[in-house]
Amino acid sequence: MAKQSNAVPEAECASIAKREFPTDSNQSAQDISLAEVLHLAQSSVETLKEFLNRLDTTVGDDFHQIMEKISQTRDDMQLLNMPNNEVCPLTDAENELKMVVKATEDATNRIMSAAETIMTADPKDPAHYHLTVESKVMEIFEACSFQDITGQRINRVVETLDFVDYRIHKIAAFLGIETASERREFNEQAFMERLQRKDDLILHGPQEDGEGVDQNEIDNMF
Amino acid sequence: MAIDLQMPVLVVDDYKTMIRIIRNLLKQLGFSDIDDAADGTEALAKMQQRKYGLVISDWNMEPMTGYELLKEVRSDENLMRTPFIMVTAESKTENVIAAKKAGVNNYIVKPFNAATLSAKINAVFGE
Repeated sequence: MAKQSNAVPEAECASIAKREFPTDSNQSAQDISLAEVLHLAQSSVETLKEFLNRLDTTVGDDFHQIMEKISQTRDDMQLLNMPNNEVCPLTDAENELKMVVKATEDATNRIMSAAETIMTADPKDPAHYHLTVESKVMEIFEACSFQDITGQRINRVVETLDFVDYRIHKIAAFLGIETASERREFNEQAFMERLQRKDDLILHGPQEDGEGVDQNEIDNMF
Repeated sequence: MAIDLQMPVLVVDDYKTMIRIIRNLLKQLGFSDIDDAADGTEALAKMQQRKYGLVISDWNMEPMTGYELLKEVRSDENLMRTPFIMVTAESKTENVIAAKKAGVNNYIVKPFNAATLSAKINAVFGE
């Protein structure tokens, strides 16, 4: 919105003066009556009042615009909390990454233990050696399944970061702040549709320790 | 119902590593005819081409999830009797209940081991 000028235009002042005090060449300054002075004062007050009213409106508009910006920024900040998510998405992402680190460490330890057992197995008893190698190779296969779960966790973190990145760029653009990097393409509608789809199809992804039910509880349900 | 180790088994998962793991575990258990698909859509297309004795499917896949695949299979007159095991990281009670309601034969939570897979296959075939 264009900013209004606070000053009363000069032409308008001249017009008011001409209307209120028509020039009479026969009348000197000393002949001005009290009534005329009062009339002049009243006209000045009315002119000033008009000026103050305009000033008030302009300042009010500015404050209104600032309030709108603050309000919209606050709304955008609130939207940083992903829909249907009771905790801050960044806290969620941090937890996911911690679980990734733990799963990777656990799998590495399992694989190394199995490999060490194979290395130290006694080949003098071929049947026993064969069984040991076979069972430890199976353990290595099982341990490798961490990649599936950590992959799902990392995908969730990436999705969260994309969303936060999008929102922050949106807020920065709204406030007229230039950002160093170009914002990547982000389709908010598609993102919201994906969230809805996850709700509809009960796609929570891997649960944290202590969440969900374990295999024994599931077996009881069957 | 005895387990026929020659029957074709379809493994459905969007992670190739997981398909390799399940394939190797199944081979270890004695199965030899193992096929795979990367999501529900591909699995359904394969199932319409060939009769599988067992389906082992992940839940979280795009574009068609394992849950949607299960419902499609159970609503198809030619496929509805195919044994179906869900192998997934989705371990909330509501997931298990929904899968059971949709007609899943058994449910395995990832990560799992060969013994669990073997036990669930045995349970499905009544052994």
